[in-house]
Amino acid sequence: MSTRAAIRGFGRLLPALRPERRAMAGSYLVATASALGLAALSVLTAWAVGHAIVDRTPPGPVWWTAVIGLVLLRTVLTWQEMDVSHALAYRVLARLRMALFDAYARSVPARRREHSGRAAAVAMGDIEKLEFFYAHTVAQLGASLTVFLASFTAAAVLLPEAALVMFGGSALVAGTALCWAGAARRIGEREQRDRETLSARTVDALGALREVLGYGLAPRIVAEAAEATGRAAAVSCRRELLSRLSAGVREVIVTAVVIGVIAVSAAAAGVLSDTADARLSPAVLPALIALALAGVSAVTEAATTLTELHPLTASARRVADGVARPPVVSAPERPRRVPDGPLGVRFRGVSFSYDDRRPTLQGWSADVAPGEHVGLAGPSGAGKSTVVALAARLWDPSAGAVELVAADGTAVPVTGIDDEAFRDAVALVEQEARLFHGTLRDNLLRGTGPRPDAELREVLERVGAGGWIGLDEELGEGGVRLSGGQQARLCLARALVRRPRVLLVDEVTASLDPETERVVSEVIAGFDGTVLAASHRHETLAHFERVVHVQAPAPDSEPEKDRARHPARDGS
Amino acid sequence: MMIVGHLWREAARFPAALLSSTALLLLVFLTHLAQAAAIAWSMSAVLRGAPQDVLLALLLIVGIAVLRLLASLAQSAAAAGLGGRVRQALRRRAMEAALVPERLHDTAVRDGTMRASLSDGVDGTDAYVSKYIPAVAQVAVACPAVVVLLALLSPPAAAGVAAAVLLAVFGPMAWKRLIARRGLDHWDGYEALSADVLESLRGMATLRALGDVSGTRARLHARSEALRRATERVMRAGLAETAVTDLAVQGGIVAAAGVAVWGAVSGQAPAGGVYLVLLLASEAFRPVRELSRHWHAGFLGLTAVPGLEEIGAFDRERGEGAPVPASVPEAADEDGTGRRDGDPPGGAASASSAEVLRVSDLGFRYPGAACDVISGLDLTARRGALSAIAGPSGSGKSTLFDLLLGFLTPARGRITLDGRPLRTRDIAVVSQRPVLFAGTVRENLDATGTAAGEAELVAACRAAGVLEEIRALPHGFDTEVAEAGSSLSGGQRQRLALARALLAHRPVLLVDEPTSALDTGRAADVLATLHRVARERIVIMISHRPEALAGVPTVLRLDAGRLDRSVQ
Repeated sequence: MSTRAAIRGFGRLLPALRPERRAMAGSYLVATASALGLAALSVLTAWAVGHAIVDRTPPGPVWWTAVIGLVLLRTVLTWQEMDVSHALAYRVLARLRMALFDAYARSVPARRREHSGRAAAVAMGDIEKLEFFYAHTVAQLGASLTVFLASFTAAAVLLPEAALVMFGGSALVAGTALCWAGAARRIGEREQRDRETLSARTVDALGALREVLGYGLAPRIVAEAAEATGRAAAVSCRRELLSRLSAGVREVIVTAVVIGVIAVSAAAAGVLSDTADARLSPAVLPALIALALAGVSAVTEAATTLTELHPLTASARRVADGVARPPVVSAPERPRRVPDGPLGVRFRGVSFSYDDRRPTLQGWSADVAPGEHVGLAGPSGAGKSTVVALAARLWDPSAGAVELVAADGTAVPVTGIDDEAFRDAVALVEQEARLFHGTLRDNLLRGTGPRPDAELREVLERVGAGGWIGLDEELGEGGVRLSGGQQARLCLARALVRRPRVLLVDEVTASLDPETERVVSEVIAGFDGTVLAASHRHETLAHFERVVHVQAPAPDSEPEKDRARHPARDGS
Repeated sequence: MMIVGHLWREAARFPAALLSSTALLLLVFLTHLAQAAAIAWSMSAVLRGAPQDVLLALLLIVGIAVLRLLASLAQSAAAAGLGGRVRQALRRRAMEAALVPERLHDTAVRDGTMRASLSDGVDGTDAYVSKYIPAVAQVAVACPAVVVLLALLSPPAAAGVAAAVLLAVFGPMAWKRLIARRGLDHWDGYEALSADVLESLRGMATLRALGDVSGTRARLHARSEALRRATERVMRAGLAETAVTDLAVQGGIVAAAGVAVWGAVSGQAPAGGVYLVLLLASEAFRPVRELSRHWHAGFLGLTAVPGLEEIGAFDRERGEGAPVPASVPEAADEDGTGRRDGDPPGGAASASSAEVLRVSDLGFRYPGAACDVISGLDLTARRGALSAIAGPSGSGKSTLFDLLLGFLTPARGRITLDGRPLRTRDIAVVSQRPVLFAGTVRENLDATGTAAGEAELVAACRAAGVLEEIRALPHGFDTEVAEAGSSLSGGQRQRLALARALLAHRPVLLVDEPTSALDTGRAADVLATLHRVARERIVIMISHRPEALAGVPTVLRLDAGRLDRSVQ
């Protein structure tokens, strides 16, 4: 990645600072005052020492007052500067976290799926890493520049050639910010990737814990993680060495500047040659050196900050990419109202393909009349789940349209409806529906307004879950203690609590025993509204008034051509 | 100076790395001292008007600078090595502690919390271990040494510097407790947010379908703000350390300057001596400043330490690869428990076939539950014919499976295979909602690394009725599977899990609703396979599908934790 691309990467993160303009200005002022105070302190001290040695005159009370005042001021300013800049940075990070969540909420599930462990690593780890960028970069670089200019001007007044040495040295020091930048960025990329991979592996192992334990995979997973940590440690060692090396080079340059200033001022003081007349009192020499050091140190600090940024480039880019993820469904510009009364669902020449596969659906059409109960049949993998997902607007089709149809025949494309209004009308029970951490009541009420407990209990009774679970029971993440059948029934109950007009169901009866399957089928049959339910089971499909079939497109169709026509909106 | 005992003990377990990083740091410090001396010499030479000496001193300064660069590179490598080893040890132990059966039934545990501890929490210790610990050692050795040197030149300056160093090092300990308490809040906030973030990312499709994106956003925002406030609070306490250090450093240098000026004016000290006192005073604070800098870089990472301790990352016993106490056969026979999986990776079954699996008088109750899930259960499954268990959802089938697998410890009864206790590694499972790993289809199939080769892989997939679909995938067996297998349909996943179980070569096969996600044709194929496999292995199938139970000689009916035999 080139320097320009890196700068662009960080540039994309700058807009997050926009609401912090005042705080940034405050941070700059405090940082500058603190750095100038430190420079003044060392120059004053050196000045007093120089005069004491050469002229044998002690500093007066003014000096003492100034110095003690500066020490105290500097203490307060140091703390203040850190406080202001960090508080600012954490506000920005909190804002970025929410921006990232919004982006994921618009774009997940993407057609090309991203591992949640990776996404979580970005949302938590990478954002935290950017603390350095937001807390230590913009205002601090400005402060360093100010201090450099001030000390350069002062040095130029005292002895122009010393200022020249200082300027040359500072330019060299600034140049080191670009030394090994490419290598540092590559190391940062590698570290970022390793962190994501470790996170994904961990999430995988925790999510498949039953399999991991059953097949005795834990020792292997642990060994792999330890090995990965070892490799990561080797990479971070390289990063440390690079940053140490450029810091070392800077130190050598600073030393050279000190030597240069000593040399030129010694010459100016007439020490090195007997002939020249002294243009500089030896008493000023220590102050001049302190001044030169202050100027070069400011530049050194700035260069160190820039060096530390290189490895963060990868994190910056990942976060910026995440925030800019393309949405999987488009938001309507002028939302249309959902018609009142019963709603039907119409598929008109719908095509859809997952990112790297051949099309799952091609020009598929079907019509579900308002109030009608329709079963969706087809072999495993034929695209039943895709049809249901399109009707639920988890994605937009790549061609064709899905419409909600009122009893009077008015058709509104789902892409033209505001998301909230759409979710009020349509509910989905997915094959992989998830129960969330929290009580059963929390779960049932997700996305709905308040409902009385009696109503919730009545719905639980209807799905045959009245007996074995209470509303206050903690379900745990993914409903850990519940069997697949129990989870499916609770997910159905959660959809019913929403009182939808269209109920979309994907294979909910798959894992139920015959008795419960009968109950659930009856619940769906008795549902007062439109139903579209995918199932591969004849018994389940037999309950429906009508069954439509989904067939995978013939394998000889060309996915490449199809994708070219409808550029895939992948989310990675 | 803050001492975190756990991390010091961990670092002490790598004495070579700890010693070399500390020794090299002291060497770097020595070069600073030498440079100070050389600078003082050069300045006094300028004042004395001795050009020869000036040049010599300048050359010396350059030489020292180069030496320091080399030493600091070596030091960085040693310190990074130390930090890396400690992280590795912590991660290994924390992961071992995380992958245990107890987590399977705990409604309080959250994967995102564990993910945060295992990744960010462990990495957060690095700055403290690799930078702060050597820096503390440097303060302990270098600061007293410089004070002694100073005392030889100017006792009053030495006294001033010593007082300032003590203030800088020990002053911040006054609010150590405060930092620790706020640190706990910070890590709690981080973990809670991390858990919610991971859960909402995993369940985003469900959240969108429920129209709960805005509700989730509000919850996350509250968490995120709580974390921000907690971070600010711990940071304020932590940054006060920086301020105190700065006060001590600047105050100390000014005091030393005052002493030096007084000495110079009264004419007691030579010019070179005055410069040296000043430069040494400044050097005395270098270790203190470094300590403060590393504290700033690392203190936020330290908030994870109590969390890591809770997981067990600091428990030595677990991490040392000490064998888990193997169950003595007699003792295990008595209660059928004590079966823990200390299997080596890919642990193949001891015997690929067994005759009979016997469960007798098995009883189990979840902690805090009112009644038993399983009680007085007897079951005998033999090789040769498929055994089936039927029963309504929630009748205890999942619990029975977990008991057989050893994920739960029975309250009563025993489980034996050919007369010896059944072990986890005797069993291959196909669960109702099998989970695949992110990776290729091939890696998923050969999870235990026991498949003999391509031919066997193909045969197992054919037997499981999934071969054609695998071949239809873009890259066949090398197609990448998305997280938890979500890029495949439920039926495909189940049949892949069956192929995986067949390839594991274990004497017992447990299958939960193998046909639930299959259409009629495929269901028949899978059942035919199970009947065939049952000739060589003990196969227990849970099902309530009439078509699956047809042709099974013995069907046991599980009802409220009891089994009734019904022979068809």
